[in-house]
Amino acid sequence: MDSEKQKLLEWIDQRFPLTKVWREHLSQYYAPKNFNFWYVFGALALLVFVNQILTGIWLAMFYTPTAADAFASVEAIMRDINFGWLLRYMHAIGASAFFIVIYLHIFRSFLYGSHKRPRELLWLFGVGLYLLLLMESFFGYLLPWGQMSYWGAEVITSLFSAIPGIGNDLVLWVRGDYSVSDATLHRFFSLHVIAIPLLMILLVFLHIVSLHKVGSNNPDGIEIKERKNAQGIPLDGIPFHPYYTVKDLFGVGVFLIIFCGVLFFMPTMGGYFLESTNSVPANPLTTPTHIAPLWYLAPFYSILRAIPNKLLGVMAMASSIAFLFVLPWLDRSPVRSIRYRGLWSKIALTLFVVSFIGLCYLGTLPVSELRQWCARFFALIYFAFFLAMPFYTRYEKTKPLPDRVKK
Amino acid sequence: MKIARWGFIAFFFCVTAFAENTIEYPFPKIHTQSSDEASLQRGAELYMNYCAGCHSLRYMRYSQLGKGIGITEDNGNLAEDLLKNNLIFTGAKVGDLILTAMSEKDAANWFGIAPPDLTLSARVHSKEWLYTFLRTFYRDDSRPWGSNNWLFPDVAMPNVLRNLQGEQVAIYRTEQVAHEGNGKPLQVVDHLQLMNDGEIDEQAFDAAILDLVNFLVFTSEPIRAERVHLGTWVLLFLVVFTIFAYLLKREFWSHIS
Repeated sequence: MDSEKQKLLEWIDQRFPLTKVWREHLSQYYAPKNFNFWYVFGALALLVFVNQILTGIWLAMFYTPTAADAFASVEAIMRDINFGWLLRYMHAIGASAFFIVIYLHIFRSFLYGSHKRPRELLWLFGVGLYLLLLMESFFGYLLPWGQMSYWGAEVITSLFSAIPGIGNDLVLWVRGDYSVSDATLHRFFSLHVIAIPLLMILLVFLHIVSLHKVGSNNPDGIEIKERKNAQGIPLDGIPFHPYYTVKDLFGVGVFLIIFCGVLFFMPTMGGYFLESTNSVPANPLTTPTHIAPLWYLAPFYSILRAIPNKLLGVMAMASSIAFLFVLPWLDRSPVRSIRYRGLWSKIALTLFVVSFIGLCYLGTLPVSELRQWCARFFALIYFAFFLAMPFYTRYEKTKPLPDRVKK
Repeated sequence: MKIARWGFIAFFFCVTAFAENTIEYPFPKIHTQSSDEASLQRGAELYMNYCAGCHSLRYMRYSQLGKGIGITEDNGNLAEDLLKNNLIFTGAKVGDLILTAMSEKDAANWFGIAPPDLTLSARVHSKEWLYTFLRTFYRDDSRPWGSNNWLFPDVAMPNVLRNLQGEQVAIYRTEQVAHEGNGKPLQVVDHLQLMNDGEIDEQAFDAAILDLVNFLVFTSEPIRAERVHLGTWVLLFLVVFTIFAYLLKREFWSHIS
């Protein structure tokens, strides 16, 4: 039996590098042995991505992308289709879970300097993925065709009109109509189920290939490849499989308990994951008094609203994401990890996290004078974090790096 | 880490400073029991007799409604005759969606706005909102239908439950409003008073409205019971799975120094 298996493997290996791929990416891919809690979110992001694809395939079998029937078809999925409610909740709550996981994954990079040389491309692919995810969620949010779907899309597409000269024509071209309509719903559906997911799969592939080329960073931010044993294996490295596959499996278990807890017992999450205002079918004739984005888009919406000039607001919103792309070159610190950075880096990162959560919270609330000023204050901190980074990272006093990773 | 801790404390202080007092009406805390089939059936009866003439439940089928509120035979199948004779007042079949006979165009002509579909009303509003709304109609001769609502001023809906509840009137109080009405005193509703009795007393009426709200919570998510039931088993499985995953991890990692 074993020899037959061996023969089959040889047959495949002569035609496809199965054993080679398995070794290079799993059984002989050496990851630092000191990964902590923060390192589980990459695997979880992949899990949630697979969940979105699979549930999305089934939802698309029953969903009707027309203005007349979209809302009713979602309700039919919730009521008439066997386990349709489960698929829909898995997909909708999966979207929020995706962002929670990705935000923690990005935070890990900030924490341990995973964007720094030689992982700049890995970081760029990751930020590209985040940008695609924002677009994917925005397109997907129109599909239930509720009031907030409709007016959210109306507000965001209207932002293109801020571009001087071609703005209004561009809005018309993006929507395919003079306002968000059947034509817009059709194209958003197409982008949501085909274009963006394809690009995401491509970027996930590139993200992993570049990760395995440069090797994983770790909480100490030192290169494990610099100290190898006689066989050329890093002294502080352990094979990804089985060590991190079993560790991630445990992480998956904990994640699924939380995910399913929300899914089965509080699916709307108090209106944050599924908004109550979206239970009213889209009505182009009635503008809601308060148009709020979903929580994961709220920080950027907050920045947009905080600036009184529309064009400047759009530019600020775009640059709030654009800064992520140049992060590896803004960070001039001689060390990677927060463990060995100076006080300024620690203060800056704390303020950045506080401002991001603050912007997120404010973005979901109606505007008031006080909130506007708070949003401006948080936006200022947000941008100062990036703009001042070349200075505080370069001139602060860092701690000496250890030779080997710490437990 | 200390800095992070203080940062978060400061942040949450800011957050609480933002908390606004948005509740202007006395929302009583109510408790509905989605597994109480008798209550759901009483709610459905009230709905079909008082609401269904104008408000559709267009995402819900009669058969699903019947099964969900326990109009079933001993073997669990839908009791079709019972459903037809008691809750279907139109020519609809049991598999049909629950629609109204009134056209939207006519309704908009008669009421100013077509009565909304109520399938998801308990998702749009909280159940406390629904409970309060349905209990706070009062007499107002200035309105086309002779009634108004405390929670939803100038609502287009007439007071259809007046016969059951009796007639309420509003007792006003005078309030100085600084930024509105040029500082002139404003008449606001202080509370409602029952002027003449309805077919049932106040306690029975409140209980009936609670049943109706319970029914609307059911129509907003008929799979709720199934969701909670399945969720319990899924979570139990996941806890066992995670324990074994942890033991597996510990076993493998015991060799790593």
